[in-house]
Amino acid sequence: MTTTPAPRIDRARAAARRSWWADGLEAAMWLAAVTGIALMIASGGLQAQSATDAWYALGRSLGIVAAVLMMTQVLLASRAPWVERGLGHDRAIAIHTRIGKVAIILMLVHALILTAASGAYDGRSVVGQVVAWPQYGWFMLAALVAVATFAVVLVTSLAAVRLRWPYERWHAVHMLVYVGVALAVPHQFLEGSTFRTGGVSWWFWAVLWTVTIGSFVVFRLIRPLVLMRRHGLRVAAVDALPDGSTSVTLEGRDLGRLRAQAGQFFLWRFLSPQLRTQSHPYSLSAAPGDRLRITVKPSGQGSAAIRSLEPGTRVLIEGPLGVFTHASRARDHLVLVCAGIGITPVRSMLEAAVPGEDVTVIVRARSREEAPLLDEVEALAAERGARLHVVLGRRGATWGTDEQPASLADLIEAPERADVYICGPRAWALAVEADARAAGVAPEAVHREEFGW
Amino acid sequence: MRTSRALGVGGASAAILTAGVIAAPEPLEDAEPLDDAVAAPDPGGDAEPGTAAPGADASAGDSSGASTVDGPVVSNIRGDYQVRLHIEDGVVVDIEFPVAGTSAGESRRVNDMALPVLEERMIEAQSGDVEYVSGASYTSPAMVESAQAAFADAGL
Repeated sequence: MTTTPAPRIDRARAAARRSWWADGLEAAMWLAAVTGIALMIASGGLQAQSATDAWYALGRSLGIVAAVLMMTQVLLASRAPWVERGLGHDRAIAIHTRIGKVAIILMLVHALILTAASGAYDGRSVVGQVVAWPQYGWFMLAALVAVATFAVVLVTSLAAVRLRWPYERWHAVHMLVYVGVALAVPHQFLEGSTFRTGGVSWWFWAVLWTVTIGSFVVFRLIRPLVLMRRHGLRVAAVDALPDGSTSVTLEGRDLGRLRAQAGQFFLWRFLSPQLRTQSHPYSLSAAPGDRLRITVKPSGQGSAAIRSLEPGTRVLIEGPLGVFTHASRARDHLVLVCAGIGITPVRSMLEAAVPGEDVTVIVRARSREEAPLLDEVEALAAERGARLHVVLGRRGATWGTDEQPASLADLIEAPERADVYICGPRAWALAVEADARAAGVAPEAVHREEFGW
Repeated sequence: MRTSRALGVGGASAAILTAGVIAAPEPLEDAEPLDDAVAAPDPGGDAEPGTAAPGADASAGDSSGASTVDGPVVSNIRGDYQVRLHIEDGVVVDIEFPVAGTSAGESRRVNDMALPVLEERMIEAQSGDVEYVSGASYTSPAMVESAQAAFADAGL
């Protein structure tokens, strides 16, 4: 899939464009929230004459901000290409996790303030107002149900519950947020005084929600089905590797149209009786071509069940995802650093490297026996003329090992000319990233992909 | 986000908010939102919400035949509403709305917008049976209901 590496100038320019794109998405979120509040003010929202009026205005503002955060949440999880390419899937999901609770809390506070204030105007208690809401119209009953839904999702997302529940059960409850969002939207148009009146405000809000929900439906719901129909992806072979991991090879029609790149991953849903309810992210462990290959190390129940997959099993995919690719490079010298099963995207990127390119591969493992795909990486490195450092041993003071302490400053010649790609367990990857920065690698040239979010 | 870009977003935000403030309507008057003095709802008023208590009191045996007729207080989820007709020689010359909605900003804003329109339509039609004002989907039916009863009560 990969063509000859682009000249250096283009790489720098592409990196700058990606940085604009990521910041642009964030800026769009802020400006949408601010515009919503400005429209509320323009509709007379700030004309407070009593304390209740001031609370009411605050409640309306919080509702608008919470709604914009909810739109952001849905977009971040929508797999829309214009989000995925700008941020990368792992970063998108990390942001999604960070702002999710804030969005729900703001929304609950919005509901509480407006219930209390509306009750105060009409001489009803808070409870009385809650009971009265459905009489305002079906959309307020829907909004009440949405509040309850969000409260449930918030509670189950708290660390205490989340750690105790299996991921699959938590995720099933988490999907309720989409019900909550759908139920919360009508009252924004039919009850909220900012957007109800039609005109510019109405269109502004309608376009935001259309783009948000449209992206979700198209890229999250429809596209996987289209891909299944178009490519008919099936398991071709399952190979148990000596270190305990499993390679799964997949075949289908016209896979080039997926435009997957080495280093990317898909969310895989194997339609076997055991695995059909689960969707897991696995990186391509070989450069994509007529076939795709992933390599999975047993961790959760899902990863263990992979080994018993039957050839011929149909597969639903979301992707390709991730920006851990040659296309993200900002420099000339390519440095790939990995640990454990993090070797998979490194293996496929190395395979896609052009022979004679300036490539350094650093593999950290406890022992040769426990390192998945190490033999393949060694063969590819020899073939591509890449420098290979294998760092073996127990955990030590550095991201290297007790026996072989490692520092990027020693392992690479010109850190300021290097792109450093890091894939491995989070704490380890953060240590490599810190070392790369300290060695003088430019911030935009550090590419750290997290697995296991 | 880079500092320079964050500053740009901050500046744009300030400009958008300022535009919102400039576009905001004039503040509502507290005491007299209308020329016909809309009173805040009268808690524990003599009229039970929803019941017809038209007090057709001919105010003084005036030769001009001037009188006022109150419609019933009509309640819905957004407050209480009532119409008062001023009649001279069998013609409604002025309409007051002694009870209209609540003190919520939104309620006052809607009433500010809708009540003069309703008054004009009712005087023009000499009837309470007038078209609703768009954007006042709670005020309109309640006032029309109160007005229809008042017109009927006044024998108009």
